[in-house]
Amino acid sequence: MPETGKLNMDDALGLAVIAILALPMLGAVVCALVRNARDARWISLITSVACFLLTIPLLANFKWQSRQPLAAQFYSALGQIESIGFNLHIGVDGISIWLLALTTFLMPLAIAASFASIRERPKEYYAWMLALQASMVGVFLARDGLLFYIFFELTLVPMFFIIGIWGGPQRRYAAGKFFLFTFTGSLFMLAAIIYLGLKTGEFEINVMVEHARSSLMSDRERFWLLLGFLAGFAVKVPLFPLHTWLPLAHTEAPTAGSVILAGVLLKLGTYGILRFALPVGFGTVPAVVQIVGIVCLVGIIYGALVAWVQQDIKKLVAYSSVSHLGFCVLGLAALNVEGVSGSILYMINHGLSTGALFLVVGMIYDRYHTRDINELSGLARKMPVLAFFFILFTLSSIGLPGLNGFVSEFLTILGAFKSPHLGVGYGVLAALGIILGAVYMLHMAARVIWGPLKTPGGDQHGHDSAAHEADTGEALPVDLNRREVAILVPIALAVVVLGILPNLVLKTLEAPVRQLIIGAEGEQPQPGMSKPQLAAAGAR
Amino acid sequence: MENLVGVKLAYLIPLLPLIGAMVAGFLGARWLKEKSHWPIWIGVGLSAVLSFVLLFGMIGKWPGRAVAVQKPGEEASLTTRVLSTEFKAMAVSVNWYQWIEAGDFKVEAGALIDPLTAVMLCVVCGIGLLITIYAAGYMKGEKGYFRFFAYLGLFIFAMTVLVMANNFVLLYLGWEGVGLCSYLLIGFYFEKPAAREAAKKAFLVNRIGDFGFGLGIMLIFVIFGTVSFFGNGPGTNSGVLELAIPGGNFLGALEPWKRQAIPWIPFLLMVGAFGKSAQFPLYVWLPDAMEGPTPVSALIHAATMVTAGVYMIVRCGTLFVPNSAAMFTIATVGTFTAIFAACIALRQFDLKKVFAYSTISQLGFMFAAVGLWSPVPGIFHLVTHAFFKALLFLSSGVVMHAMLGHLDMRKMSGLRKVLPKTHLLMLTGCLALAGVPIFAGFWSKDEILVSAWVYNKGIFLVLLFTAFLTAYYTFRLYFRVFQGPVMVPTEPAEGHAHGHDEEHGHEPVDEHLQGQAHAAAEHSHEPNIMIWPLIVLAVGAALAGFLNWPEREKSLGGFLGESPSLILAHLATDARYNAAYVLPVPFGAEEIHDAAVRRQMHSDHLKVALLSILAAGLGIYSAYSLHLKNRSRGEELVARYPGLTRALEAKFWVDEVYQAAVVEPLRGLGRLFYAIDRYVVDGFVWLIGFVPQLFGFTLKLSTQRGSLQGYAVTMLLAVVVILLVLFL
Repeated sequence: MPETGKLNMDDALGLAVIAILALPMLGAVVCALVRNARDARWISLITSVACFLLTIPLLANFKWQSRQPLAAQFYSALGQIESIGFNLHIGVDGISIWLLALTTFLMPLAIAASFASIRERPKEYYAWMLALQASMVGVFLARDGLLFYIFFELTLVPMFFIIGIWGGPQRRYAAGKFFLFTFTGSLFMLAAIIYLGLKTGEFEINVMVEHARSSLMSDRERFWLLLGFLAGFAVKVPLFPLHTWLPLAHTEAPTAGSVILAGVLLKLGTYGILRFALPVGFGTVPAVVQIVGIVCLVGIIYGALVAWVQQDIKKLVAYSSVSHLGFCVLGLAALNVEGVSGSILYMINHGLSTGALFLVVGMIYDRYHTRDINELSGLARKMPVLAFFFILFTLSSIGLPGLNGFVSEFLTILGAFKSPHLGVGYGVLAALGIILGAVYMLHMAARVIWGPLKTPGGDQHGHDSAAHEADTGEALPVDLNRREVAILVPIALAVVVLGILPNLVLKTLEAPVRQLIIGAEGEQPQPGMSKPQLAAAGAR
Repeated sequence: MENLVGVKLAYLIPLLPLIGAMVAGFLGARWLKEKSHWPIWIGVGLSAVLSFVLLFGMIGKWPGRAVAVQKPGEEASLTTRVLSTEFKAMAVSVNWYQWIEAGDFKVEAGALIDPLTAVMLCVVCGIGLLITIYAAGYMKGEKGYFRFFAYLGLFIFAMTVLVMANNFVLLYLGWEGVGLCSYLLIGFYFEKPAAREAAKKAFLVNRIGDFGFGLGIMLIFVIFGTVSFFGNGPGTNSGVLELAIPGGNFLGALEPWKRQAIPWIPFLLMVGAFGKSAQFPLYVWLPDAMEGPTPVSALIHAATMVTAGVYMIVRCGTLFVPNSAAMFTIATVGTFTAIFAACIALRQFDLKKVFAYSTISQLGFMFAAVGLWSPVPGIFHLVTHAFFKALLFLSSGVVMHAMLGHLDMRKMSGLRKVLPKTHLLMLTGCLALAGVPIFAGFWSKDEILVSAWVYNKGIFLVLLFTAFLTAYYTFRLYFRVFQGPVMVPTEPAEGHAHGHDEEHGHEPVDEHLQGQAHAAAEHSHEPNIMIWPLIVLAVGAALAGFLNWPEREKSLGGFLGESPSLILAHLATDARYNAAYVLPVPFGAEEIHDAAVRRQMHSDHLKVALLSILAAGLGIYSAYSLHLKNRSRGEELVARYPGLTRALEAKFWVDEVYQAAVVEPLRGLGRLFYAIDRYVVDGFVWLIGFVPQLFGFTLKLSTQRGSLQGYAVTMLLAVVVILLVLFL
């Protein structure tokens, strides 16, 4: 802060970025140390809300018209290790700011959703949740490849414990599988980052990417780098056939875990592809891009058909994620503004609608202790408010125009359709996914929400609340209570607003995406450009 | 035209019903309750007023009224008119805001206001208003009263967006939006498994259509670089519908592959139209949709939503007309659907089911018309059909109310004495549907038949036979239900729980009512709030035929002919569609100066009208002899052809074929994939993951802690190792 006493806006916002990263870390420690569970709850909630509030001025003051759209704003250099070129640099650019906002938006809701359902070791739980938030935020803030990797891996630890301690009956197996899958994958990515960083001489992401694109690297090198990045991120996304950890992790995780897993953690994979794989190799190695496209198509259709036959509604939503993330990566593979912008919007929209669906499913589970599609029926009669939200998010998920999902889905398919790398066939097959998406989601809605009322644990019409009271220690009302409504309303508003005004996001993505793509499409910097020049071109 | 009040306030037409829907939906459950219809009445009512203000404002500016008879040499004058200010005066494109913008893909939320839109708006909002009024009586005391009206408001919003949209993507929003409302309203009695399944089926079959429609939009964008109908306005050569005119500079400069892809566009769009307008083979959802409350069947599944496909094809005429294969497909599918559905309707016993198949059949007529590029007869039939089919559905709603939820025509007879007002209303509707002269249906069907006569005699014969079947099944229903000895059901139908029955406390119609009309019961059976809207519709069903008066400055056709869609499509037509007197009136009618052509026209019209009257008369007479004069004879006839009867009653097993050929294989595939997922994919990946697991296992042993901590330690160790490798 300048000494004049006047608050310099940019410095203050830089501090806000640091606070968004540091607050949850601090909060995690405090949560672990406080005496009672109630305090831990509120501390974690307040911390996460504070982080969200800090994101708002960032969005408001971001310079969308910047001449260098991929350059970091609100940038802070917190330190560096010069010998290996490791920079502790954080900041946001026009793409990562939206994912940062998604994270800080979903986190308070996920924490608030845990209030009733987490009874065991609550202090640790909230501490891990905040630790998770810090590491996720770290991934989006990192401007350095190694820092990115460290945060990327750090997200595993809290999630591992959240699934492993507070999860369902198979939680240990699920946690282990989750960990091993993603950890194994990211080692390839680490190798790629290290190789590229050593070649470049530093690890600043934009500089590395510029270097990889330049003629200083051969196509062969780019090919291997691309494979390394894809191996790491494909597991995280997850792309078919590396997705099998996801349904298991989702079914076993507690509600908030699923929300964050679907809402944000999967986006780390797509964000990684966007940041590294796309600019480095998508333009120069079209064969790989086509294979990625095919894998996405298989995932879209395979995930949808498998989702359709699920009995467990959480598993159904989990497989729907496999299908949806196929669209998301397909948009990236399209390598045009429509596809890539659509894909980034898809990341946000999927986070909102799938996160919300997991929340609603969790609210059903809190009441009936089952997620079996055959045991639930006709909840609309008993729980009209829940039914409203369930149907709204279902519609958002199947891409009803006017709600958020449509725009991004349409753009990713359109991107694939007009892309010279992919083409019409990809668009047509992906569009089949929008039929199947409606099939499995409406199948679930028809079974769970519509139809004759049937609730488990009671007779045909009765709701056995006494048994649950004994079980959870808190009597849940038949329909949603105020806390639950307050959790869902912000997402519902976001779903509607982004459906009517998708340009709020899309317009800001135009410039950064264009720059990413132009580089990827092979408009490489002049051969023989020196490293400093490259660094300058790369814009931090 | 920009200065018209109706145009300036056009944004309110979709907005007001939406606000009404939100008020009813969010405040209805707790506060408005049985007053929940008010926000919808006000919203839709104001929209209807605005629609008519718009329509009459445009009629006031109609150049057809001012300009005297056009000189001969019509082609040339038309082309110049396209670019003249006079032409632009009848269409205005308003942009509200930028909706989507990504790369070259730009979509505005905006309206195209032209005669076609204005006519459609009046149909949607006008009939919509009548039906919402009726619904307040029909739905009285139902659970979820507010929900019903919220859905209705949402529907009117989506439908008005559909007909006002100035680009394909916004049209698609309305398109899917009406599909959603249809889903919600069919499933209104969601506790009934049949309603739930019907709702799902409607949405999914429509999604199959929308799949084609969506791809069509994408192809349009890839080829034309825009999705706007007319860009900055007709005459600026910046929208799809203008760029697509054959022979234009734009098409000439296209890359070859794009030029070759253009013929695909109409086929893709057509799939969407077949889904929404219930044409073969995507019609299967509409009969099931009758699970919804009757006002919904009238509004959505007869008068408005299902006609969206016809509207869309007329709107996008320039994309369809140059493609003779696509046009032939539409005409053929429409004709086939018309006769196919009419056949099924012959052997239905549920009143609403008869009308549902009849709707499919009548939509087939409209498709045949637009497939032969006779947009004015198509839209004209759309308008008259909206009147008489809504009337028929709503009248059967009154019957259903009075008959304790029964709709089976085998359980009732002679209702003219029990429900005298409804009888007259229903009779009006039946006469219109059967195509009896003077009544609306006669005129519009006749025009379609004339087009068919001129362009394709095969289609003409099939449609003529269908007209005979239509008259037969309509009057079969009428004679069985309203004529003959009085018979009314005594037991309430299953699932019939209209709250008003309890409120009024009136006795079920029982023996003492039989044989005689009962004054008191009659009163409660035919509440005014339900009868008045029907009277308005009946007037329409009787007189709407005169809308298309064969004089240019008074006719619907003349007005519609000013729509840029129709004019440009006319420019795109070739010699195939050159019969002057079938074209929209401004291009034909009084421009026919050749006496020989005029004679030909009169003789064709006369022949077709006579044949069509003959068909209707024969149909009515057959119905009379088999279902009134001697009812047992009808059954004897049925018994003589058991195979045919079974095929008709099973609706040709189309649903079963779909289930066996599409649904079950896909579900089987899903199960197979899931098995693969659990055993094959997972097993394979576990093999790769085996080594790290061993690593974790040894660590777990060495540290003597649980497996959780073991993994955590693995992880931390790994991180430490990596960091060490990095930093050293």
